[in-house]
Amino acid sequence: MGQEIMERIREANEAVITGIDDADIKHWVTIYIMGKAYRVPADITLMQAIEYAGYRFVRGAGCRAGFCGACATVYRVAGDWRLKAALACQTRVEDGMYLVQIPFAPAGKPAYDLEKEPPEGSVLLRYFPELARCVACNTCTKACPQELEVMDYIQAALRGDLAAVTELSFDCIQCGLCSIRCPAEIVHYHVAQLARRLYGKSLPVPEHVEERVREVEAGKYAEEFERIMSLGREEIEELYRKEQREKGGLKSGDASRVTRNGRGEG
Amino acid sequence: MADRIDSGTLRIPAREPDFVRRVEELSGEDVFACYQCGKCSAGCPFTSGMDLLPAEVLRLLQLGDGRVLGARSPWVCASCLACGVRCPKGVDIAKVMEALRLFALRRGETGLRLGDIPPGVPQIALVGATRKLTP
Amino acid sequence: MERLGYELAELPRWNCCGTVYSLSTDDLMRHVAPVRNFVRVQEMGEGRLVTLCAMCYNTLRRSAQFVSADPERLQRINAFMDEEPDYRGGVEVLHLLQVLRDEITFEAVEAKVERPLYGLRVAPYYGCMLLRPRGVGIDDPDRPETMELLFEHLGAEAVDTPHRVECCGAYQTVADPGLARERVAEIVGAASRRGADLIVTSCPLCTYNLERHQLVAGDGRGTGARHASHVSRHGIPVLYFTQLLAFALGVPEEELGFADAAIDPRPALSQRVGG
Ligand code: SF4
Ligand code: SF4
Ligand code: FES
Repeated sequence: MGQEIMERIREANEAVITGIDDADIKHWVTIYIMGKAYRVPADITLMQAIEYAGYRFVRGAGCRAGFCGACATVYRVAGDWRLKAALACQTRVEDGMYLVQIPFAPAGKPAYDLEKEPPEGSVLLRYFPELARCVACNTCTKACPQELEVMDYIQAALRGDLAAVTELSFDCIQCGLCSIRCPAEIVHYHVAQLARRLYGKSLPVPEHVEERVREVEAGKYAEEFERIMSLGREEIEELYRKEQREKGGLKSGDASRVTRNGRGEG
Repeated sequence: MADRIDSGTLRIPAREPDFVRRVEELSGEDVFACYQCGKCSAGCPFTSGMDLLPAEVLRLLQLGDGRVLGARSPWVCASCLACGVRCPKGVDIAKVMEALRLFALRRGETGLRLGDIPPGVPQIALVGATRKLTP
Repeated sequence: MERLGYELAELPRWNCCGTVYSLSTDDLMRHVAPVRNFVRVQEMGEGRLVTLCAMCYNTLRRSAQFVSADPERLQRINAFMDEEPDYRGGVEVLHLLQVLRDEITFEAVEAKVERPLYGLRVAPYYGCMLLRPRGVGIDDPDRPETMELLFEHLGAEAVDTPHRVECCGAYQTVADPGLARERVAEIVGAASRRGADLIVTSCPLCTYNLERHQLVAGDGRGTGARHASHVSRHGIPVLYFTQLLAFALGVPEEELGFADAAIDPRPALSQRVGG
């Protein structure tokens, strides 16, 4: 199943690249994928370039829209000593890039029972005592492709300020790039996730959510669900396009170009 | 007192071993300035947990005795600096203890297992302990 | 501080200083956290940084000295923190006790006392980081008198204990709690034998250790659990100097966090001072 989906994503994307004939491409750059040089069109994303070079993603790609955090990449550009981090689906190739994918940041997540944990800041240090090792080097912030103030949220976590961690980490997509770089070996995104969960738990459930839950439980949407579940694939796709067009999010009925992110370039 | 290192067979090496020079570099202190008056050991509030008294640590370094590298004392030292303000020769012994810890820490050893942390200790203690005792 | 006509502004986006100063010669990374705070001070257009905590004081003050002693070190740290403006040096680090003593002056404090602490026997506890090393500490490392003077100006009687400058066990409370317990038994025992009603500290970690380990082992009567207020019979309450100061200045008791203390100080305070 997963394999099949990946295959379809790849095919869809191939069209974007191979729709143009190599002869028509005017600008080329050379990038080095795990040390091997490839000439690729200048205007594509790292992810497309990796595929253009002939690799196939089995892991390390998901949404292709900057949301899932699966496509973490680290790279250097020739002549620049900096080690940079980026999302492959959101970053354009540059000439002289040396890159490698980090499809997974090795990190064990402690098991916790949210029901049993009080919504207090001290819980963070109990599960992640290594927070105390932060040296305020700010490397995590520099690595974050979401441009979050990661160090600030780690410092807030150390202080036990759940609200601040939630606020500062809200756009985290769990790509793990911060945690790959941290000299204190902190697993930032798991810390932030626990903080958001605890904080969320401490908030009252808004009236409109309760209202909706009551409606669902009373069976208000049952019929509609039933109808959608009975549709065939074509019909569902058409329904989706129609929805998107109504929202103004989709142009020319091309589902493969759907991006929900301003920075996206699918 | 915890088990003491037997000092019956000390011999003075002809040349200062590398690790002694390294301890001096890391600490910025001259271990040979010590004349063994013992004031540091007398003032140290943690000797009950140490296998080598602070002055003995300095002595073994002077003698180039590598056993000092495996001693427990640097891990027991709490960097309270009581020794340093007492030393008539101006040796900052806490810095020497830190250098000995760094020796081990920089090889990846640890003086604190994060799994064994007592519950409820405040941040200030955890930050201090992880900085002093983890690699 | 308002009552004393003095204004302190919180540092925006401050980060933890690291709590312990690196005692090695080559560990520049340990100075990044302090220097980043100095950059924040600089950004505020200020030149002085006041801490309430003895460990922050020591770490920040020594780091300030460390980087200003050698421009090359500072330059390397600035180069590493290339996302921040360069720290130009010159931030002065002060402990609040110094501000009270040297700027506001204890006489001025005394003039503002609304609830004099007559009859209260207070044992000041300095610990390590406020006094050592020489040249960094705010007072004589062996015979300090800053807190004694402050409490006397508040009307209290300062109890002299031999262990007031000895380590409470510090961060070893994490790695080897037994060490801290031993230290605390000695420190509190001495204060208790000299009839102290309260121990007053200037460091949060001292406060934690002195409270916590009194209850755990101390005189053998504590159980380690959090106690109700009657426990003050069994231990000496530990207060932060700011709490006692604010109490004497007439700040309402509810604002002083007495209820959060592991050993309730209120019985001792009301018995002596009359609440
Ligand atoms: S905080 Fe870390 S895991 Fe989250 S988006 Fe930024 S780099 Fe990725
Ligand atoms: S990379 Fe790690 S040590 Fe550095 S600021 Fe971020 S959390 Fe702290
Ligand atoms: S593939 Fe999902 S963020 Fe790049």
